[in-house]
Amino acid sequence: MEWVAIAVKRKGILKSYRVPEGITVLEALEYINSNYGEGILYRASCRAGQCGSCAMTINGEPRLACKTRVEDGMVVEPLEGFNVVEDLVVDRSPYYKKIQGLRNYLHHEGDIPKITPEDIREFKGVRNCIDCLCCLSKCPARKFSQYPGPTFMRQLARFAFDPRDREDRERIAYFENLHNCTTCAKCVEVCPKEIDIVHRAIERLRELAFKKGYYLENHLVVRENILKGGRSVKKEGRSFLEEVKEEYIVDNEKMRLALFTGCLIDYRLQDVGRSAIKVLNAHGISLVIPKDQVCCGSPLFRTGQRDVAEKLKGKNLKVFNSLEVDGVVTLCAGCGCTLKRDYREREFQVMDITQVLDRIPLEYKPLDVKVTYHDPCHLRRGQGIYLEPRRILKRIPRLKFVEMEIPDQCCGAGGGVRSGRPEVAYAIGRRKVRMIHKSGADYVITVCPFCEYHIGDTLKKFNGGGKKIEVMNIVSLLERVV
Amino acid sequence: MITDILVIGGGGAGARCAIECSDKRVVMAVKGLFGKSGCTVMAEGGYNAVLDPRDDFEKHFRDTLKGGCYINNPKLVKILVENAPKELRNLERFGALFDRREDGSIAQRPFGGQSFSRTCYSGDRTGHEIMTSLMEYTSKLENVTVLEDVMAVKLIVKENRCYGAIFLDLVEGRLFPIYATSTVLATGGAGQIYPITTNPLQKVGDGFALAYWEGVELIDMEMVQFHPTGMVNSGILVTEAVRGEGGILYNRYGERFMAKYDRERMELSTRDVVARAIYREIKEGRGIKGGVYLDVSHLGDEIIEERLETTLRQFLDIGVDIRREPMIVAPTAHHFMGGVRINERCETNIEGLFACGEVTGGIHGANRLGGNALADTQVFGAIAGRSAGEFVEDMGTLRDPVDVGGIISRIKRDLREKLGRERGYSIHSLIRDLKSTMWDKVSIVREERGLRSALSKIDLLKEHLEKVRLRGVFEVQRYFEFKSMLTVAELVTRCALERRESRGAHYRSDYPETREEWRGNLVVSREGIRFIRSSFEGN
Ligand SMILES: Cc1cc2nc3c(=O)[nH]c(=O)nc-3n(C[C@H](O)[C@H](O)[C@H](O)COP(=O)(O)OP(=O)(O)OC[C@H]3O[C@@H](n4cnc5c(N)ncnc54)[C@H](O)[C@@H]3O)c2cc1C
Ligand code: SF4
Ligand code: SF4
Ligand code: FES
Repeated sequence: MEWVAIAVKRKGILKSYRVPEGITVLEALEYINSNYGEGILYRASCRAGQCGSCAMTINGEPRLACKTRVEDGMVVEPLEGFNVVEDLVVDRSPYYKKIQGLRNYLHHEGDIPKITPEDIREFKGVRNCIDCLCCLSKCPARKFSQYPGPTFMRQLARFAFDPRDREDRERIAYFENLHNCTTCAKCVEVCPKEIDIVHRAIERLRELAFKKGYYLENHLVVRENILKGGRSVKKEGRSFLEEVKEEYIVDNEKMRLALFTGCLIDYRLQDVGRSAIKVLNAHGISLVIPKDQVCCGSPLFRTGQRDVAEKLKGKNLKVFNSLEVDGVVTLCAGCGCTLKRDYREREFQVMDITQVLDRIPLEYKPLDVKVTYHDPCHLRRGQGIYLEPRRILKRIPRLKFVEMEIPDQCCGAGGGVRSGRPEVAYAIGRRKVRMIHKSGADYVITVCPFCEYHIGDTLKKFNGGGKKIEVMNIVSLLERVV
Repeated sequence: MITDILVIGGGGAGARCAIECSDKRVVMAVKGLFGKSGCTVMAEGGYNAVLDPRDDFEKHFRDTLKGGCYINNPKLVKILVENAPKELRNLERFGALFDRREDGSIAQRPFGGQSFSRTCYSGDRTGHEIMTSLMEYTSKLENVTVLEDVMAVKLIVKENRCYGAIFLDLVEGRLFPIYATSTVLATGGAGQIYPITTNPLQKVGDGFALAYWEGVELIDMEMVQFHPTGMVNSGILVTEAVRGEGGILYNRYGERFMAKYDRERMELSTRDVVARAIYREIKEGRGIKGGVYLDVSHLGDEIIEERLETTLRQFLDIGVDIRREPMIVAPTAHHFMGGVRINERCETNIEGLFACGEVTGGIHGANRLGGNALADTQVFGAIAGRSAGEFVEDMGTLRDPVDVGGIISRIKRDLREKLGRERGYSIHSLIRDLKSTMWDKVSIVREERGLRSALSKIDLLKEHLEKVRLRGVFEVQRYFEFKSMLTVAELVTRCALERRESRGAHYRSDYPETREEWRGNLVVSREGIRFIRSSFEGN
């Protein structure tokens, strides 16, 4: 039998044990207790991922002990985000209290209305929660603001879409700060039942809430901006699209792509856009830039304003579906995510700029800097892209790359939080900035202009008094080395 | 703590019971988390109820008795069948939602042993849907207090009347009484007396033991259902659908061995036949890693991905891709048909003590039909709640509880002694020993010699238990659990030895025939075992 060592935290102290390889963490705990007489307390029942009793923090992430195999060097701790009662047993009572407070039962009188398989298909996805609390463990909005947490919104959605329920669930959700969620999708990543809380609960509840008049004033401003100018932000000076040519063709073209600019590049971060053109061209990629493109609709989809979002989508599809190109490249994680996920009818493939640059590599000039990288939520979890940007950075000779503590923790900008609840966005951003400072880097690199904008502001607001660190878009950095 | 009604157990039966009597003060005490620590939440297949006009109670009644080999208590079966539809509708009132047909009616699917498709379901997570709704509905009831992570270790019984139970706090290790006018046992079965089981960790059969120790009668304890396919080692259920879709069983020599046991139906033979066949292959050395191969790789990726999605994922989790390689499966302890003997009001032979759900016996006879157990939890959970409530109305609120100081200090003294020891047996190895004995001698195929040797092993383990050395709350819990397990193991073995025939889930290789003179039930209590001939003649 082969062995591995795992460490278990009790009363704040980690102790290491040898256990047979290939078994689950739950079996390992049982093994430790029966062979080493440790008597570690933990909860477990079904052993099959069906009851949610055995959630713990394993190697820093909330996982089910019965569904996680041991690995050498693994660290097992009580579920983060909850008070410890004893060993690996945490206090679940705040969860019970809160969920009870949401009138957590079907409000129904009289006969059951006709329910069809269609109805059920609509909301089945939010019904198989096993109350493991994994999603609460890491939610940034719950950690740093008055927001109960993802599973509560999921539960409210469960009732909101139940044809039998008579309670005003979207109203309850609204007053429980539904709009504090940054749609970072950490909850979706850790949910052992793979419940898509963001798209199936948060966004749907926001949509219902919007229809009933429960929205944030600033989200209306975004709506008006879009209705007026096709962009989520107000125009200041000349836009990127007004300044650039329609095409940037290179010799020896390796690929021809259409550029999807997004609102911030067009109206605020024109320089980043220009860098992107240069960097892409240097990599041998020709660009076509359609001038009649508009906002992808992300700020509306994320805040429940699907009505206008669908119109934007129609417009963009008309523009991009007819192009003779190899694909569409996005510079913004939010746009990329929206095009990939919400534009079901598209006839083109969508690639994030880092996917493109990674696929067609280039020899870079050396650069003496120390950088760290922030994973935009809508890139890391929205599109599964996190290796590409790191590979690109590491290809720059002499560049020193350091990881910050939790590179993929949300910066606070997404989901309409920056526009609608700036105080929440800054509260979440502050934690990010602290991590960035701790990394000791000269620059924090990111891909998404939304993150860039927000991290930049937050860095200014909470400069740690120490070394000044700046945020930089990956293309701005690359412009210096191509 | 004093309450009107104490419900021990927080599965489907316990929760339904608490809802029914929530006009009184109710305490539901659960070993583990409420709703999570029982079988109910794990049930996948469905809930049997007569809903279709072409179906009727009589058919469901007949199917159930036939499945139970005609030793079920017909009165209880009648209650089950006639109340299952009503309780299904109640579940939808509590918040559950069953899958629908296009016309909006509740969808039903065929299940083994039934003459009509009457199994209602919610995808492959029926029990979860039911349990969630019961938990939600309970959360609105102000009179119901839920206590988690507490284990009943002894009933408080004086002069044939029950006054509650003594509990162990599984985190702090404290012993404390909960006094009640009515006490309801809803602790479920005892799959965990076997090393391979579909049941959750808590299901060691505490309820059977607690009842037996106080003189309660148990019935049909020899009737333990084994599901033919569990994941080897853990026993976690591998759904019947795998064979339904065309899965093939092989032994280590690549022989399709079902041909030897049931040429006609092969892998699709009945649960008990397939379970016995696999068991025999393993026992006779033709198994592999404690199981046999179950192969679907010939089916084509699409079919597997679409129709066996759950199983595909379940095995991918352990690094086995069933599209390419076979699973290894073994029979697994699944359900206890036997248990506390109840009447139509869920009363036991001790006053103030009621029981419902899998901890009871008599409803399913010698074998349970798939889908009847979930219905059982709801129908009898509700009845137990009603009876417990009425008992409170008759007897009034408990004023002067029985003094349990003596009992508690006796338990404490016993624990102190075992906790203080320098040396002694390890509770964990005693448990392992018992489980493997039960698997080897008292599981799917039984015979006199094996059963007798199991009994002597159990006696030996009882002696060793006195010399056990305990450390910490974790082992104290295991100690109490082991006491229950020993009792249950002994009862199963003794009844299995007594029944000298084969019937339903009980198979004796030395008495392989079913015999009419054995059509009846073994009732066991501290007084011993007696046989009661079945009065039902409608066969
Ligand atoms: C994997 C699986 C699939 C199944 N599928 C189906 C199906 O499709 N259809 C069907 O009809 N049946 C099915 N069954 C059977 C059915 O689920 C059970 O028989 C039924 O749910 C039992 O319900 P219960 O409430 O009696 O007990 P459980 O749900 O097991 O609950 C028992 C409760 O008692 C508690 N408890 C135990 N001991 C103590 C103690 N000492 N002190 C305090 N509390 C205690 C436990 O913690 C638990 O909360 C299945 C069973 C399993 C294991
Ligand atoms: S998406 Fe992020 S902020 Fe929103 S609920 Fe999930 S974890 Fe919390
Ligand atoms: S939503 Fe998922 S992660 Fe959250 S409690 Fe439910 S099952 Fe667990
Ligand atoms: S023990 Fe039930 S989910 Fe892990």
